[in-house]
Amino acid sequence: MGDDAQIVYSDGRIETRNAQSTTGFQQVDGETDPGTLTPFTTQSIIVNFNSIADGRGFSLVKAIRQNTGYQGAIFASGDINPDHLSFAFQVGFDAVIVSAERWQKYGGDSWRAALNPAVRLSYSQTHSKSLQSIWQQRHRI
Amino acid sequence: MNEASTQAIIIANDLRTGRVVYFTKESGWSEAIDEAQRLTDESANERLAAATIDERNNLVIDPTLAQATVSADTDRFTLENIREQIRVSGPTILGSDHASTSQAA
Amino acid sequence: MYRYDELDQSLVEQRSAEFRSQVERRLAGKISEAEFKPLRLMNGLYLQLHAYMLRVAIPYGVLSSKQMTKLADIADKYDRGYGHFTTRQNIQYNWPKLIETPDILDDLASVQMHAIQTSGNCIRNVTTDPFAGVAADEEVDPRPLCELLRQWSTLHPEFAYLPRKFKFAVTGSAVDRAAIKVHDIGLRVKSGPNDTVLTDIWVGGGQGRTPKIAQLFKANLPVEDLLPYLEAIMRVYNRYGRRDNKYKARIKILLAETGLEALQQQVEAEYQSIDQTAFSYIESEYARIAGNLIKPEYHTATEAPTRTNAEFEAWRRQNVKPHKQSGYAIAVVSLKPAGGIPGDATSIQMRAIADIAERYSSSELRVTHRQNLILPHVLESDLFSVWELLVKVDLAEANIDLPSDIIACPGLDYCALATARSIPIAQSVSKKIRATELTTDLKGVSVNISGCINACAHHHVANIGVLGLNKSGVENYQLTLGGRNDQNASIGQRIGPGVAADDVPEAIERIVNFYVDVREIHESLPDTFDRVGKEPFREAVYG
Ligand code: SF4
Repeated sequence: MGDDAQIVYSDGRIETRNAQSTTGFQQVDGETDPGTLTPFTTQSIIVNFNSIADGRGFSLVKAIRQNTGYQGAIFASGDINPDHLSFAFQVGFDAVIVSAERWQKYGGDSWRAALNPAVRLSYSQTHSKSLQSIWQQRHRI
Repeated sequence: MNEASTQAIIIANDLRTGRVVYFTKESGWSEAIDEAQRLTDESANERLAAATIDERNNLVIDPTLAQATVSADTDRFTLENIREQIRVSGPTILGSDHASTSQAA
Repeated sequence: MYRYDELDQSLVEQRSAEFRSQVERRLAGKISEAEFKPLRLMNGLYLQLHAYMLRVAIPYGVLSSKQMTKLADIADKYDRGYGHFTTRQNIQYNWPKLIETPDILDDLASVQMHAIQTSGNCIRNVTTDPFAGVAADEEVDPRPLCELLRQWSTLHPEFAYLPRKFKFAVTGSAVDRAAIKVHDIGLRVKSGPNDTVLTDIWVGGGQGRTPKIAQLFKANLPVEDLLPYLEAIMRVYNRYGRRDNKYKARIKILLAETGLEALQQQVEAEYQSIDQTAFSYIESEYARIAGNLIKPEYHTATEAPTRTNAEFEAWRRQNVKPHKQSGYAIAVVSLKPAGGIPGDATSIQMRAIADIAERYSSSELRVTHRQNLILPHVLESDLFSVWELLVKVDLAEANIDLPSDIIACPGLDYCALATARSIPIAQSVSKKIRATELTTDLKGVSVNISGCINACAHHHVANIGVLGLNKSGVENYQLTLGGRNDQNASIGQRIGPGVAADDVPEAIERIVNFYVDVREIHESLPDTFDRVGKEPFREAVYG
């Protein structure tokens, strides 16, 4: 697999992609103030987490869709480890781009284990088709 | 009291147990303060570099130098910083067995 | 007490399994300490001076006999036979090994407990009135809301990596025993017309380096609208809270720098943008939680209390509080024996009190903000038997709300951030002041001792605050007077230069004696301080 990134989708698919294949995607920093967003022109957006100590990227997905009417795919990339996969999917990212280096560092097993939809549920509403939060399950919405 | 000199020891926490450990002559780690290698100013940084390798190897956390004064006549070794003194002695709580159960005593 | 359902249970079990794998990764060297630290902190595991420290959540301070017994077992099995109850109504273990913490989390999960979010830059364990649900003066029971907040904030994906930690406190009484005005967000629940529940939201209180009293941010919000409103506040804070300086990262600073009105507008705009239909289940979830609280069965006393003695009466006067159910009482169990370690309990004491609660208090216990324990539902006719059992395990000190009922943080004896010791100071102060308070009619004088400016012991809002500092290598203690942490919250004022460790007990005794001399009838220490001013107190201490 060499330098190829792994793209981990919210429905559990994992796709190997040449690192260059995401070059046309529009990049947004996770720290971006949603008030400053302008309409997107590409079919795919990457929200980049410069440091996981800053969780603002997890709020940005909703804002992108709400404020700009954007309908395309939204990817997360950057400082994300297996423990954050379910966070990313719950807030509505379509997929997480994992660099070859990160994939290796945590090991494919850790990444695959973190994809189990039963893992790391939270209570409040999720924005993912394939994940139901605890409250959604309790109240059948 | 006669002239006092300064020496240092290297203190860290063991990764697996969290316990306070001291860097020894043999480049190992011991929970016994008596086995801590006493370092002079010249050797201190070099030994700290050696100790730091064990941090990278995930054996200990945050090895640091703790300075002490040594009185010339009695060879009494006293850590300068109260924080490090308590790290070595364990909690100083009055009349309790918490302190005496400290491994570092 | 809230009873977990399968989903609650599976969440804590997964979390425990996840932590086990994180620990394995760390021990195998796959991740560095820098990467591991935020992960362990999210599970309440710190590295302190002598060892790791595990902080276990006791959500809003409520626990069962079974849980308390498990805490005792953990103290024996993995630690040194004791635990430390904190002002955040949690318990801390001072000596766990990293390699054993996954097992501890499993043991906790087996009794519906966890250590999730007891540390880290996230929403921390919610605290409340220790008399919640039983106080005679309560308007609304805050526990259903506390549990709703616990669930909402647990692993909330948007709020796990905030600029800084974030603390909520809730009260349902006009008399605030939860210190809501010194929390990032304080909530006052009240009853509205037609059986509705309303909340007042106080924002921006806090302690530490820059103590602040919260401001009323939003009044009379129906409880069903609370979560989207809180999400709006959290998002605005997450977005604009400062990340460049950790001392300026709390919401109190954002509020001060932005201004109340501007911040309210930002929050209001965010609130409008939130899809309210996503919260349509809040009302039914609130009702479900309220229905899932295990309620004690109250009986009428079968026998009139007959036994008594002077010591028991002293304990009853000081430690027993009025219950809303007639024939019942709230018994506060002091973890502050004169000369003892505030908030510490041995495993023997934990088991004893768990047994007492099982027999005499519907198997329920509470942890208070002042680091004591509570037996919340005791038949008045059982009080004497309860007291006798407490005496046997040294838990019958009759000093609740007296100066010797000291709040003290772990300080330099354990805490890696400390600048000075606090426990030995508390020990010598309580020993000295206990004699005075036994012969003086004192009510409600709080003494809080913090080992550094982080103010974990809330010294800023104590009637008498003690802050331990390090002055050129020597411990030195600053005294503040006139703080309050109730509905009239105020920050204490420094009365003079710091004093040496050995002089603290004497200084506090002088303060108390001076107050007793000059007070007017029913006047509290901070009221006296406000009336007579700093100078006379300063004079009394420094002479
Ligand atoms: S106040 Fe300071 S010394 Fe005390 S527990 Fe908090 S951080 Fe540690």
